[in-house]
Amino acid sequence: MPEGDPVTELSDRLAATGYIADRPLAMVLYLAGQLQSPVLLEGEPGVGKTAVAEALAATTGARLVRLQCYEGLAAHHALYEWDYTRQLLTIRMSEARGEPGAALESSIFSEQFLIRRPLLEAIWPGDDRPVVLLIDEIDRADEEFEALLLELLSQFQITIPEIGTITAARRPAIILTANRSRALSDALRRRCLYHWMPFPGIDREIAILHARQPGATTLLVQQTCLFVDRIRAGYYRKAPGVSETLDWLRALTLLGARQIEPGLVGETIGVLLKDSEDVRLFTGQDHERVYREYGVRAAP
Amino acid sequence: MGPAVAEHPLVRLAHRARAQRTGDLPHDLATFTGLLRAAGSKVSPAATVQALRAVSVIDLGQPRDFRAALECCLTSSTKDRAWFGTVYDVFWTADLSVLPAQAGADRDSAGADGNGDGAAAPPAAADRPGRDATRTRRVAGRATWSRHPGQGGTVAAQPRPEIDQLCRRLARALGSAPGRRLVTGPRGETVDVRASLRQNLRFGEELLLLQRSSRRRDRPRIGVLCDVSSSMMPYASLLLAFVHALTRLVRHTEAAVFNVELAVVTEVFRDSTLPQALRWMDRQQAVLAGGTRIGHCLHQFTRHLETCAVTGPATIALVLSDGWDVGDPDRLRDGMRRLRGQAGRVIWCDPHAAAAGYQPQVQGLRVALPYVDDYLDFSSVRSLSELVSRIETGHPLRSSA
Repeated sequence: MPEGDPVTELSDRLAATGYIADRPLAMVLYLAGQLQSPVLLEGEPGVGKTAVAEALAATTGARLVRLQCYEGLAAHHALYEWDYTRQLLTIRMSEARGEPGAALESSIFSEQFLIRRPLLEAIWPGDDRPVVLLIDEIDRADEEFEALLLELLSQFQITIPEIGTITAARRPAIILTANRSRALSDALRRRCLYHWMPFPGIDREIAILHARQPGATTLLVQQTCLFVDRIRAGYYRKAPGVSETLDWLRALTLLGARQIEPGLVGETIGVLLKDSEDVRLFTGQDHERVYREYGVRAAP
Repeated sequence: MGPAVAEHPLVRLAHRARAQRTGDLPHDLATFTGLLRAAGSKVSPAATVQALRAVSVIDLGQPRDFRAALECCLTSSTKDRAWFGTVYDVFWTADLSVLPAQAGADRDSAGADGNGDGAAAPPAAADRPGRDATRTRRVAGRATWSRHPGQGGTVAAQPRPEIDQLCRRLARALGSAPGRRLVTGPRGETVDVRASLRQNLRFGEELLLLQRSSRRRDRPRIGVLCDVSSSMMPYASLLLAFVHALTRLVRHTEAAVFNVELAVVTEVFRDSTLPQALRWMDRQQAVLAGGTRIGHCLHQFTRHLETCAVTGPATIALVLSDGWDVGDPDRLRDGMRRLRGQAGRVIWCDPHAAAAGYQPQVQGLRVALPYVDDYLDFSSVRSLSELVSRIETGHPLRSSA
């Protein structure tokens, strides 16, 4: 262990970019760097999983390469693709020039006809900058897609049949995020360090809001966090995440609020609650109870 | 934490493993990973090696860092974290007097555990002030699922192959409509230009072989919610055997059990044998608690189904309950309305439904029935067989709405 506390240092560097990480998360990121292992972050939507990769890239001056996963994501979207149109044009031109076929075959399957998608870009970047690869919402991709990642996650390499195996000269930091919309395979999990990110406690959420929205008054930040905590404990379809809390605080600040007021809450509740049923629940019966708890009078 | 957790087989196992500690870190770590495996966690040798590498780069004088390092290397799911949380403190903590306060540190299967501060985290019950904490302490000494056979016989006494077969038939009967996804192949309604170009590259630019695309058939999606409160005890072993079989055999199934709180059991049931899964339920305090809060649990379940995208017209929601409810009826109504909107079909299975002249009188059922498509008996394997046969033949099920 080197002198000083590298975990605290990493935590401070993340805080300087506006990301407040708790100690276990900072430890996982530190270990990921030391062990050169990918990290799998699971947690509720909106707790800052994606922001971890952005903050990590910012602290290290690395380029963030992002792969947003979705149902139907295929190899040619994620790994690489041959530029078919250019290949066909080249074949035609070669035929017109009467060039031999063997030379043509080796040229059309060379790097210049290769379109690099995010995964290949991460291990074979076009410049010397370090790379942070974010594979976002991996659970949205099909299970078959996970198999594509295994070689990358364990060996940091990608095999292209026509060219060969490309191994990363400098290993990228890899962050995978998942919302648990489906179970991930054991093979994928085994290759990663695992960390569960819960909703932050009140104190940490206050620190996050202060870091992200320094212009907001302390009273407003505290009230916002307490209010959101109360909403999370209620019977709402979608519990607001940290990102929604931050958006709401921005909205309140923009409107000149110095503390929570019922009228403002009613006007801006759509920033916090993103479901019509939830808004109806809040405005219908819940808001009076919440206001009462905070000692404020409901708007007439 | 009450005596139930202290007497838990895993805790006893952890105490025995602790006695084998020598002070040599690699040896102790290997013993610990062996303990995790015995608990039900899938810890690979590579993970053990990685944990050793991890502890070599951290400050061993910081207990929470040590725990965080081991946790991120030796766990890979919320289920693993539950095992880890149960045995970690017993195995590694020097002061055994703290054990009763910490051995229940992980919360529910959703894994929300407050600030995630590892060893510093308070026990689950203490996370929530007031009523919930009191409830957990109150029920801690009761019988548990893995040990209580129920009047319907033990889990081992259930005809598991027959239940498995019925679950397969049910899945086939409930599937499968054409989905939105396209698959490429030699047959299909439309030509896949990209795949055709790629395949015909070897012929120059001549399109000799056409690749086609067709709609992939959607697999059935099932959400099953099983009541494990005291009033359902006589049928518990049968219902849990059914839920376990359904979860393992039908890929897109999400399963949860409830009494006064909900526990999502999909991962655990899918990866474990039934006895192992029941032991996990014990660990999660899903014990035979008094009372049932269907509305409260339904709210959590519908949120979970949305997260897992188990929604839409092809989704079947199965509720296995007798409808006894001590919760808020308005909450139950809201929950049922939401479930009705999420699923193409809501089937409520009640063990009492087959009784001659039975009319649902309990408040929970009266509130829920307007949102239910089929209200059926499920009190025996024979009734399950009849249910599956009716679905297979497309026979109209008894409607209660």
